[in-house]
Amino acid sequence: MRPRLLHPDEDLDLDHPVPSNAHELLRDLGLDDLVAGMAAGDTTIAEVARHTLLTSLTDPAVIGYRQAVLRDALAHPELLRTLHRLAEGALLREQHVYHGLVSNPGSVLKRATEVLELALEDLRRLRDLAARYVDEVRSPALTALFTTLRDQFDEPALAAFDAQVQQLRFRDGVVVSARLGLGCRATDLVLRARPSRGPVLRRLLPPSRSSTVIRIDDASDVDRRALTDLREQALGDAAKVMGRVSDEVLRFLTLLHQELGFYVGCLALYDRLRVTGAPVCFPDPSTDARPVLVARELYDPGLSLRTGGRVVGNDVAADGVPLVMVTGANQGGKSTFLRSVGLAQLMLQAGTFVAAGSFRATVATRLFTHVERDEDTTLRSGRLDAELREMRAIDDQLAPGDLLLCNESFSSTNEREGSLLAHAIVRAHVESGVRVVYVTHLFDLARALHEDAPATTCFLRAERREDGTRTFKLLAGPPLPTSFGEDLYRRIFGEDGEPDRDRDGGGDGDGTAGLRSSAT
Amino acid sequence: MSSDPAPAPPAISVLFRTAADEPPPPDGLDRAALEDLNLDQLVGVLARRRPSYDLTPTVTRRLTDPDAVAYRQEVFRDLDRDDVRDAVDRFCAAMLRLRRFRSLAVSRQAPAERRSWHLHAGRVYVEAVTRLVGDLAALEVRSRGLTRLHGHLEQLLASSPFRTLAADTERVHAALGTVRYRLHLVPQGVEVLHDDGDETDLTAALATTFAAFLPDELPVPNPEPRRAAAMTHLEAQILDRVAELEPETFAALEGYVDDHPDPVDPAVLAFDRDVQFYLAYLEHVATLRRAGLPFCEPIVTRAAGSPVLRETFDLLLADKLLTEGARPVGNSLELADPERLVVVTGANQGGKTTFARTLGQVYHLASIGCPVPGREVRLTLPDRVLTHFAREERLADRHGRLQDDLLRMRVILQTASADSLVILNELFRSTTIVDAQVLGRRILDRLAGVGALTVYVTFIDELAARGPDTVSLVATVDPSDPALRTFRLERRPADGRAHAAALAERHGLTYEAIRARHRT
Repeated sequence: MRPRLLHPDEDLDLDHPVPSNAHELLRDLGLDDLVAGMAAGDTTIAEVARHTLLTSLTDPAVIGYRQAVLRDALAHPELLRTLHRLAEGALLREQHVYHGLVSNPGSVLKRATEVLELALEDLRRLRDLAARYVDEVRSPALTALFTTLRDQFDEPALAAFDAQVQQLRFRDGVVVSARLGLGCRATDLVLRARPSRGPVLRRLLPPSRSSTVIRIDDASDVDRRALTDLREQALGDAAKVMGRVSDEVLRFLTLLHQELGFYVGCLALYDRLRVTGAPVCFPDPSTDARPVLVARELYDPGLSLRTGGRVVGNDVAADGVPLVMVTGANQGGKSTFLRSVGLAQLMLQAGTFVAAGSFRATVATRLFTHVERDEDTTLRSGRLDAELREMRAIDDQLAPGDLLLCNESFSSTNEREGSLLAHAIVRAHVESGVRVVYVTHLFDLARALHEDAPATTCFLRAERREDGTRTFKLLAGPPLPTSFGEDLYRRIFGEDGEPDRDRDGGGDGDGTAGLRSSAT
Repeated sequence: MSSDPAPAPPAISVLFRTAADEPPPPDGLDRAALEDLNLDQLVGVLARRRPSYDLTPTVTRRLTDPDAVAYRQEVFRDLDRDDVRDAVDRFCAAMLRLRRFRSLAVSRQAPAERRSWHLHAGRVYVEAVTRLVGDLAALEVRSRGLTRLHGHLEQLLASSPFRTLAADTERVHAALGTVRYRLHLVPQGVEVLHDDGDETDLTAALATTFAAFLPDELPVPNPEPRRAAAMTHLEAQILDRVAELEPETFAALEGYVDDHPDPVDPAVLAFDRDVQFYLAYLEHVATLRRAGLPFCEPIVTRAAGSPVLRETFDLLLADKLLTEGARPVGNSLELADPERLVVVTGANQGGKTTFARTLGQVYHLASIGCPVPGREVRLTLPDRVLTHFAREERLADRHGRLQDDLLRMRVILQTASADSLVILNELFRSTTIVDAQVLGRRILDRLAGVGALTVYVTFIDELAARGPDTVSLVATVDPSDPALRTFRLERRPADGRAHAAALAERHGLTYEAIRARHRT
């Protein structure tokens, strides 16, 4: 009995390890802003959301499985929220019974009895809700869960639960049958339903003449203990069954609460993004050998949540090319673009919607980020060394099918050196089957890559208008030999610079990159 | 099989052809030799493997008749087969249970319980013997020892007392097996009842009712209920009531004990005891064989001949070395007529003492019928193994030591014959080189006169050059690094200088080195 709302064959397992570079992903992509936007203060939802975003799905079928639940959730937001509240309440009540370790069959049975008594009412409520909505929902996950709840926990079944639970209170004592085992000790103890000849209790209380009755001397601790042991042995197998049953009831409620939490979080995020008027779409995962990153109005949802307003979206059409090079003006939105790619990729592979008008991308086996940091540090050689070490650590894990996001990697040395280093590394990775999105102001690097293999690279650059102002919009086109630092200079010093000589002349005649809308 | 009317059963032993083969207990010289050769450690090692059997007499007493040795070698050959050993191991495990049950049949309080242990012991006995007879027939054992045992057991199995025992055992056991009763446990005590035939298994009913919450995967095991190691007073009282409910069955049990007070055949007990020697030794050898160390069945003769020992090693040192991740070095010795004296010289700590000890061990192990360390061993069974090993604690008083050495040598020389093995290790170490040389030569002359096979470990190189009756073995060093000891002994004239030169080279004390230093 498992909810299976996140995966058709697996339960959510928060103990399942997240990727070893989870810390880098959280930091470099600003993932926690997204998580906070989903959780709205709920710590369980935050935990589930973070875990789900970090442990990417790679099977498009499972991505579709979650997307279907999410579509149901968007169609019936209150249904999902009510189920979530119900599971939460039930869990709280039953966990209250459950705390502490129990070590013997008698107490395992006692606890199981209490848990089940509470669970009966919760199961009844869940069933009623399921029965009401089973024909409304479309997703395989919710349909299956609702059908099971409706069919497994009908009134006769719940009545049978109740009857068994009452029997487990053993008000008339414990009856067990036995055989003679090794050394004539009782063996094959089988717990029987109820006393066969009325309550013996009454016959035992007055001094009994019957030779078949053994009264325990109250003063004899040894006999009392022996009697307790015998009772525990009689209850042993039943305790094993009921211990598993109560564990499983609790597990079901826990999973239900956690897995629903993911969708409730998605609903919250949806509302907060939509309120800005920015688009949200269900992405299209691709598993073709042909690498794809095609998006329209792709934006950084974290930035949107932080600013509370609509942020600039970008289009990218890297269809069939494994490398996206983003060059151009400082503060032109390159880093934001890189984060929007990374977050969209993680959201795609978490099975939720993405912050874009449309989004189609190859499913990545793993996602890595390499970001230059500590921009003020003066120990340049030490920084390059550290950067290379980090890259080496990533490189040790990289495999074909992975996606690597680089932000100003190897900027800590001079442009020539940095470009040469990066050029070799990027080429090696791309040729090994790794997809790379690389954001840089290293013109040498971009130019070299453009000369090498223009047909396998999608070039984007930060837009600068004729007047030098930035739109934060990326344009398709080959790299330009300046990073527009002079724009900044001009804006600050207000003097007129040189005439524009760097307007894009070549266009995208090679056809590898373009501004085409990428509705999928 | 003949069916003579009840002759006294022949004494069947897997250790001796007849009682006459049994050697006398070791005397003082034997005990000293066992200690010098570290064979007292082997006794300890085997005793640890079989703590409840006393293997000391078998391990310490050498046989002197080659056919008596062959008798054991045959048994070793049979038991070296995995299938035969498995069958015997199974039998021994049953005998272990048998002995435990027999002691419970005496020590326990409740009469019914005592009788039931007696019955269990009888059952184990009947099963073990029946199974062993079947196994021995199917396995086609070859050794005289196991063949004779097989014959004896076949006779036993066919005898009418055994058949009666087997039938009675089964009948009473089956009757006890049908006893079913019911316990009604309440806080004040227990009622013991006839089984009323109510087949409602509450545990099974619970499993059915709550099937939806019983996951398929293996559950975390609940703690097993506590159970006293032996029957409690309360359980004994319950058993009394059960006996009252089933008077006939328990009367039959009592009759069984009266009819078969001591059912176990002495030859069966003797086999279980005697075969432990073989099993323990083979177990010990198995660990060394797994590490790739060779063992072989020695060819033993009575007629004086020249020994051949190839790739032998110290059995007990090998064990220690393997646990340290090292391996023993195998050494060989091959003598031809008239060679009788082996003088061992060479590098300190170069394996001289180990070689001497190895030789003594191989002779002793061959004499008790065991497979020995080595690829090939051919030797004459010695009438005595006489040893004298220098020991640090004996060096306290130099004069006393020399006197002790000489007194001991006198006893050894009085005892030794042409059939003896004499191993002398660092004799006269306490005296001057001149004394050691003179006295050593005298002793060797005397031993040569007696004709005993002698190993003489010494630091006096001159003793190695004697004549055609003497072989010189030298503990060698690695030619590429003369400071490295190889632990390998080579047959060549003792010079003692290669090692000295190597040490001089290393320390810069050669003639040339000293001259060269003083020239400048």
